This record gives sequence, C-alpha cells and structure tokens, in this order.
Amino acid sequence: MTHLHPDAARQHWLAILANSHVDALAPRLVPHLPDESRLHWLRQPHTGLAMVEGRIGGSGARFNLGEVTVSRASVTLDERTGHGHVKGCDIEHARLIAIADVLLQDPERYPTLQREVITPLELAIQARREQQQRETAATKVEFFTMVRGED
Amino acid sequence: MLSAAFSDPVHDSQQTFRAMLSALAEPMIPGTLPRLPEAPATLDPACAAILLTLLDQQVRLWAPDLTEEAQRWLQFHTAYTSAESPEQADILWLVLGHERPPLARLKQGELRFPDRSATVVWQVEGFTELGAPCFEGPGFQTPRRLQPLGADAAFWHEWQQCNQHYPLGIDMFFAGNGQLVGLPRSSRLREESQACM
Repeated sequence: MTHLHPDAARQHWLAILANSHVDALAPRLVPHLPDESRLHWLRQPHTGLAMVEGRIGGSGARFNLGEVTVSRASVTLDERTGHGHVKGCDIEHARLIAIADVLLQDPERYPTLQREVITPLELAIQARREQQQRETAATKVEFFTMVRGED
Repeated sequence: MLSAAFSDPVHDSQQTFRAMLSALAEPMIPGTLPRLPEAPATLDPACAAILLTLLDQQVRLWAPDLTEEAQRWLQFHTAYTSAESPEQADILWLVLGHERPPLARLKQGELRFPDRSATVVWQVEGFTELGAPCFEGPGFQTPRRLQPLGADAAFWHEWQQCNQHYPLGIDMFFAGNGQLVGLPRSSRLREESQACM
C-alpha cells in the first residue's frame, strides 16, 4: 500500500472496516483491544439518520435520494482520536471501528494490526465480491436477433 | 484534544431544554440545570449545556469569546454554523461584562415571524439581589429583583430599548455555575419609584 496522502491510508482501513461483517471483524480485533478504562468516549456509539444525495448522470442537479441509518462512535486513546461510521444500526460495529481506527494510528501497533486484521478482512471482501460477480455472471443471458430473411 | 460532552446526548439535551422552558416561564428565578456536560475550560458547563441543546448545523452562532479549543469542541459536537456578524446570528454566546455587540443590532424577528429573532446566552459568575433592578411582566406573581453579576444600568437600558416593539425583541438566558435564569422579551423593568419585593 502506498502512503501518498496522510489520510489515504486511514481512508483505506476505514473503508475496509466499514465494509466488513462485524462477525468477521470482532474475533480478529478482540486480541488487540486495549483496556476499556483507557478509552475515553467522545461520542458513545449511537445510531442516527443521514441524508444521501444523488445525481442523475454526471451533470444533473443534486437531489435527496433518501435517508439511511448510520451508526457512529468516537473515542480517544493516548491523545489520538478514532472515529467509526458504518451504515446500519449495528452500534457494536461502529464501536469496534472507532477503536480499530485509534489503534491503527499508532505507528507501533500499525504493522501488527494491518497484518492480522486489515489484510485478512480485505481478502474476505475481495473474495465476497468475486463470488458475487461469479454468481451474477452465471445468470448472464445472451440476446441476439434472428435474421428474418427480408432481403 | 477534544473532550466529551453530554454523556447521554438525547436525554440530557431534552432535560436541559425543559429547564430552559421553565426558566423562561418564570423569569429571573435562578434554576438549576439537571445535566452538566464536560466542557472546555473557558466555557462554563451550564452555558455548554445550553449551547449543546440549541445548536445544530442550521443554527448560526456568534461567539467572539470562544477560544479555538472551545470552537473545535462545539463544532465537533453540534456542527453549528458561524455567523458572519452579530446581525445574522440566531444564537449568541457572550460573557457578561466583556465587550458586547449593540443589542439593538441583533435580529428581533419580523411581525409575521417574531420567532426569527436572536437568543442571547450570557455567561455569568453568579447572581445577586443587592442593588438589583426590579422586573415585572408575564410569569411574575410579584415583581422580583435579581442582578446577574456583570450587568449594569447601561446594559439594562440597552435591553429595554430593543424590546420596545413587542412581539419583536430578543430573549436572553444568564447561565453559570450550574444555574440558569431566563429573561424573555415580555419582561419589563419596573420604575424605581414603585415598590418592589
């Protein structure tokens, strides 16, 4: 992974954490969790609504597509702040993402977490997408028209 | 470093809002705020509770006395919008006794929408009845004396001037040290020649 932009690496791991299933994230993260007493919650995990905006085509005006439930949490640990945002009502997922985010910002912990949490989750997401693409491809229908013989 | 705010944002702000309604219903009686949040050092927790309750992304705040740390904290927890001038502000947070914008310039609402007026939250050290002006109006069973520390005769004169055109006017809260006092636009200063409790 390249570190071009200081936030690019963070965006990458946050995307992976949010796109993973909480059942896959929790067992991998639990061994690395710090003592709960060291965590200071800025925002307790909670669920709310966010408006999703859309455009028709690349040039259409923005319109409100609809609201989605979003769960979020923010935590500090040793002067660093971690944020977790995830679509849906799973506040435990948001809580774990926030903790993972604050731990991943620590250069000493980063390599271990990247190896034991982020990489396996990334592979699982890839596998899930490929599987879905295979299943979709299997239902592909070839359309063609018969020549009707007019001239 | 950011700090936390209300421990239970939904219910704590509901209870704070309820206390603020009571404060406006019975003006110039010090009440207590049921929930005080963690707040940056320069922002009194009582004022912080009110600001956390009132602000959101659609509310424009004028608060020249906010330190950078307090600004970041309030922005994180409420996502408020900064007003470009006191005239545009929906809510103002000011320290009583510090420099203040002329109250007459604040939004007083329109006749069709008197609610589109400014609300001022004054941070105060406390209250006294000694040498205090006397108030009367709706919500006062009998006239009452109270002086937020830092207010002077010039302040009350200015306040009287901007509330002459009821229902237009501004509403105010005085808060500090866990206490809260409301002063709606319907309250009036009582002439000193008349008796006051």
